Amino acid sequence: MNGENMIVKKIREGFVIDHIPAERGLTVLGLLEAEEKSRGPIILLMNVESKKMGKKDIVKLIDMSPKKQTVDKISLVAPNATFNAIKDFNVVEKRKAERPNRVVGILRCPNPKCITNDEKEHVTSVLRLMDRESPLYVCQYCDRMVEEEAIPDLLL
Amino acid sequence: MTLKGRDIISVFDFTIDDFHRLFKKAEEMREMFQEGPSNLAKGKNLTTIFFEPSTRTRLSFTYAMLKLGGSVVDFGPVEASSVAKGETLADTIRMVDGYGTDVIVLRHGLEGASRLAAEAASAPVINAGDGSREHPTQALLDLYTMWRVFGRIDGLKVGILGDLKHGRTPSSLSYGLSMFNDVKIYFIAPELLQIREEVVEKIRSRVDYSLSEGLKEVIGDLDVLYVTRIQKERFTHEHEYLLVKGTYRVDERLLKETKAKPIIMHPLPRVDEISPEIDNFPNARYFEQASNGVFARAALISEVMGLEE
Repeated sequence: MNGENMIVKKIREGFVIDHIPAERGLTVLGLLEAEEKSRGPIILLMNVESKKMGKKDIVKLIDMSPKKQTVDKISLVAPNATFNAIKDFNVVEKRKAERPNRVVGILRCPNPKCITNDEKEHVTSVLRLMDRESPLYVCQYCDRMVEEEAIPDLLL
Repeated sequence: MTLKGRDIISVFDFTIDDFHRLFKKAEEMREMFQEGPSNLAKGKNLTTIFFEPSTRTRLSFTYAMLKLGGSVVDFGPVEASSVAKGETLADTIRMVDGYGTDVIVLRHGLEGASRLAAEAASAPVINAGDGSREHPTQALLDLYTMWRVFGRIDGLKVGILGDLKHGRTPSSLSYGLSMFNDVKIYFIAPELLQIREEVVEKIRSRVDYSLSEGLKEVIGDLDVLYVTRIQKERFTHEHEYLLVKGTYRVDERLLKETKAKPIIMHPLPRVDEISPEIDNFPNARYFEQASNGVFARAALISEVMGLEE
């Protein structure tokens, strides 16, 4: 991204989450709010022009970087996101989101009759990725499939 | 390869070879039981834990184990146990497992309960029904019944009628049928109670199937008509229930109108979806099907426990 055309200036230290699908930026922000207790300022840019995606959202975290669990959660709602660690205005580490093979205690099973949704049973939810090519997760206990679009509403 | 030490949670825990081997073993059990009690399971124990009502499944597992010469402990009514005090399923299963049972047969209203139990127990767990999800040993005895009548499952045209949405039997039977060759499944139900999408998703690429509302249109094509109960409480208005009930009733008149006569099966209990007037028809196989449960389950118990003949 060319510095002169940037809507929001570069950050000195922190973390940039790029290529978030448009309209999922607020979900990512919500996750960061919930997961990162000692957080610094956060900048959210919505509906930014993107060659690849048409429109995209970007989140910039100043003087902080998210925990692995938060990155896993963000990867579930923004599977094409890129995570950039920033030091002294430069990207020092860049990696792509990767859907976790197993998500433990992160996603609720969508089946209300699943044993993991019964409060009395105290069972931690476990969902497995069906295969690398497919965005579908499946509950380890009741086999219910989770469609990609349903994921934001199922985050615990 | 046998099923020794394996949990049976889903029909997909069986392979087609397992089915064929178990059918033959069930026939051996039938012959063996005619000669009198066996000592095959002497010193072994099976525990039945039923969180939901059951007659046939619990009793046929019990008879099967007793005829094999083993012992059976029943967990008893949930209301009289620590479950009523709030004990979790995992703790209940750990306890029963710790007492030294050799196999646990579990029915539970929550889906995924048997998979959780299998994680908690070192003994094999057999799913005897979990919510609307699956009932793999019912599918085993259903397929065994078809195999005995026709000598094969391949090529059969099977209509599954009734409440396909909430039942666990239609899903497990469909998964089982989908493993055989050239089978066609006709799902016959009012739109409200038609088979769940997740079930169709699992069989779509494996078997030919059709969805229909009417029984009369398809009954002539069928080798097997598998009838399930339609429950009144699934309908918002009583008149909708009465309409559906009448359309799907299998009686003498319907069978007389049908040229090709499919065999009639039902997992039981029936209410009034099959008229008692056809009970003595040669094609009515539901009581025979229920009896087959003892032999099919004895075959499964003996494999899972690794009993030597």
